[in-house]
Amino acid sequence: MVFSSLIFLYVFLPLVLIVYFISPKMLRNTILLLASLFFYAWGEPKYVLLMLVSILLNYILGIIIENTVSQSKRKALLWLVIVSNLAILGYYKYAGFFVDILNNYLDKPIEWEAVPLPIGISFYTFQALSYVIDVYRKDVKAQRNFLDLSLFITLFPQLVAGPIVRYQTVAEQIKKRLSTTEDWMIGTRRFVQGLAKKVLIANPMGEVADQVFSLSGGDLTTGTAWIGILAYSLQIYFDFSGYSDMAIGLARIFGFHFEENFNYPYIAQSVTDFWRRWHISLSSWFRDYVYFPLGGSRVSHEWKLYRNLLIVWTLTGFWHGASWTFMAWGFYYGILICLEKWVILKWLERIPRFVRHIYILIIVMIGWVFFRANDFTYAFTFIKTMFGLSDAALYNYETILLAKDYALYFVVAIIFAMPIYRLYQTWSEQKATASLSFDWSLRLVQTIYYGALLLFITMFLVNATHNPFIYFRF
Amino acid sequence: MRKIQMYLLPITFFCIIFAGFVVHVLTVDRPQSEMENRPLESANLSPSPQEIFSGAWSKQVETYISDQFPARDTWMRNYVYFQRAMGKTYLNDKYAVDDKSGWIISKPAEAKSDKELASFASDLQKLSEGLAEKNIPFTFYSLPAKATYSREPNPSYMPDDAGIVNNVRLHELITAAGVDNVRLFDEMKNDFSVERNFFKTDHHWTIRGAFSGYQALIKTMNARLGESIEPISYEEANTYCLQNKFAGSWNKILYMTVNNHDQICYNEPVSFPTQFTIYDGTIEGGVTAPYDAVYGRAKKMSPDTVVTYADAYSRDFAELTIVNNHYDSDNHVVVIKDSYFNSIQFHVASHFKKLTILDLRYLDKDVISYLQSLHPDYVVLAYNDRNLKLMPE
Repeated sequence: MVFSSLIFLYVFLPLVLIVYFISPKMLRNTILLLASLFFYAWGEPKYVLLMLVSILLNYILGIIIENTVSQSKRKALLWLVIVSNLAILGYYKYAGFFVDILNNYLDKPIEWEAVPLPIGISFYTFQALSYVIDVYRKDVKAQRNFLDLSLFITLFPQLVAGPIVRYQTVAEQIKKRLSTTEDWMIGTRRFVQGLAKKVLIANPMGEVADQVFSLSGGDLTTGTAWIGILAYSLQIYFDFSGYSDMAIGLARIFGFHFEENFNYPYIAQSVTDFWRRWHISLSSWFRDYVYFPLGGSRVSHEWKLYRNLLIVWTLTGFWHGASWTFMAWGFYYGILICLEKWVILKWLERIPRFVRHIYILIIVMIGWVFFRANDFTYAFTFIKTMFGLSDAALYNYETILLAKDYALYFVVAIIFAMPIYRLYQTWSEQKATASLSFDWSLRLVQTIYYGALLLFITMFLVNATHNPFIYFRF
Repeated sequence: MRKIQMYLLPITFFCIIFAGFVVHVLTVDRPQSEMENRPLESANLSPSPQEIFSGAWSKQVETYISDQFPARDTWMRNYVYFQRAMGKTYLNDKYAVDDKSGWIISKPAEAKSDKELASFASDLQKLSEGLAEKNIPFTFYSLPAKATYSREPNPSYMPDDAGIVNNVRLHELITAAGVDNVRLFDEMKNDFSVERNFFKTDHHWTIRGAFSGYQALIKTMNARLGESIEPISYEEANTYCLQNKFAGSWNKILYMTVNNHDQICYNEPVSFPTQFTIYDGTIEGGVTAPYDAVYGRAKKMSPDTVVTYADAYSRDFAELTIVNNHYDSDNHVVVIKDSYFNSIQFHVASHFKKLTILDLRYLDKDVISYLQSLHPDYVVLAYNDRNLKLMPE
């Protein structure tokens, strides 16, 4: 089930909210867990068992690790957990990829029937891993209540597309949490904001991107390629950050406080800065569980720092999907971050802010070409067309049609990719704390605005033909 | 202190989503969407375990919720208005609208590859050769479609529609395959008017356009059958129009948001209602149907009723056999057709002793062997020129 669907918005959510809030507090975790399992089972019932097996494995091994005194045994158990989790993930997500590579070198190819990727497996596997590693590191205590650990991993707001929530963030909240009217208000507002990002911006941008990326290299023009990659850049940001907003908002309604996952990445001024603002929960996961254990920046030789960065970023790319283009995309960022650490950041400090923005936007858009393209040939043709290095025309009717039909969407998307609305929100909330009448006016206007926005979104949803979440299959 | 105003937004939000749920539960399900011209999903309250575990049931429920969502057509209509307000060129990614004239224009078609067209030509060749085994002559007719000839106003930056190019090339391939064919537009072009021949908001031809097509069809059939049938003159027949509002097929896709003056008109001799014995299927099947139940059902509808092309002329029958009591030719002709032929089926039938009309979309039989079994004197396949497959879309 996706958040931006009529069944979620008008059936699942009202029923869950009613049942949850009329139930006694002692039953609320159980209700949330059941709702989460139902939410997951709705799309792919058979994979619920797989998820429960994964939870059980991490639950048992978490307790065993905590109870084990010997450091070497603890370490061995930790490796067992890591290998088990990665084996499950690897089987479903990467086996086909590696079989294809092997088959290139084998006389008798291995027969492999592709298995569908269970929804959200990359997210819940990483959450489970972080829990056990934290137990191993003694950062948290192992959870003795199986239902509570299950709730942490399956909690439906973040189950299928993140953010990747750390156990220590919500451990206390699972035990005891308070859902205040302020939480409801902020949660509702955030949820509708996220829904609007997804439905009103990401989906139309996705229509443009799909149209452009479905063109063969020969049918592209320079103008169309730029429109396509701009649309995709906006689509992926609003799609994913919209989902994170919805997850954070829904969790807030139930009294959970998740960490932020995006912080206006397109206003970044360097690649390093961009990755501090984009999918924060994933980059911090890799930082804490891969980069630091590799030695991070505290290494004896500088080359080891660059090696660590390249490993982490290639893995980050690979996490997104089992293909060479995703790995190349991650490696591309690894190289860029190495270069920035080595010399570029010093140069960037000397050039005007505006130029730094242009630099990062071009870098990111080129990266998205690899992310979106099916193969390298198409990606390179696309990039050559963008920069006028192919024989493609400057524009054609498709360029004009897309520019004309989607101009307003682009303008709205670009405005909302900047923190203008957040500035207004901070200003208005501050003013509301100082003036009761302003507070009333603000809440009234917000109610009308978000109510109307919800109805507007409903109109799009009823008409929707194009609605998959991009991050669903990662 | 709890602030009451903090409740406003969450309560409003909850009221909206809960009201949506309650109204959905209380509203009686619709079996059919008039606008989308398709059956709507119904509730499956007793799914099998296999349906549940395969995920098929959850998909069905999602479709059901979406199909039966309260005021679905109103939401959809408003979305079309929104697209128009945003200046979208092709509404619902299909049609451009000229607000001044009320004409709806389709998005230009792209040129088809020879491979795609050759597939249809090959099917026609097989059909023609199969019939030739029993010495049954066969001709393929392409009828001028609105989407091909009604192209104005086209945005200046858009490329030309490739409908004519595709149609001409198809006929070249069919000729090369040795199949007799007629591009009916060539026979009509001396007196062809887009404004007169086509509805503004529907993909079919008007009765005037259909009549021109019928006359050209009979003239070309004369040459092939060695007959000298004189088509009915448009001026001689009884012409009249209904006052009913017309629901053009393209306007329905745009949720009837385009104002227009399209009107359903008829041109039929007074003898038609009594001239034929009509069988829904074969004569042997014995199921007869009155003329007014097959053709022109809209004539009996209240003037307030919004009528469609199918109401106005004829719905699509899998097989219709028309036996004519006052024929010019004692030939038995079979026409394989799409909906373009519906408005002139009785005009054509009025000249032959027997006319069998087949619609392959609904006929669940092997075409060649079935045609052979009918022992016709002549077989015609008449599709509008946007149909580039033996099985029309």
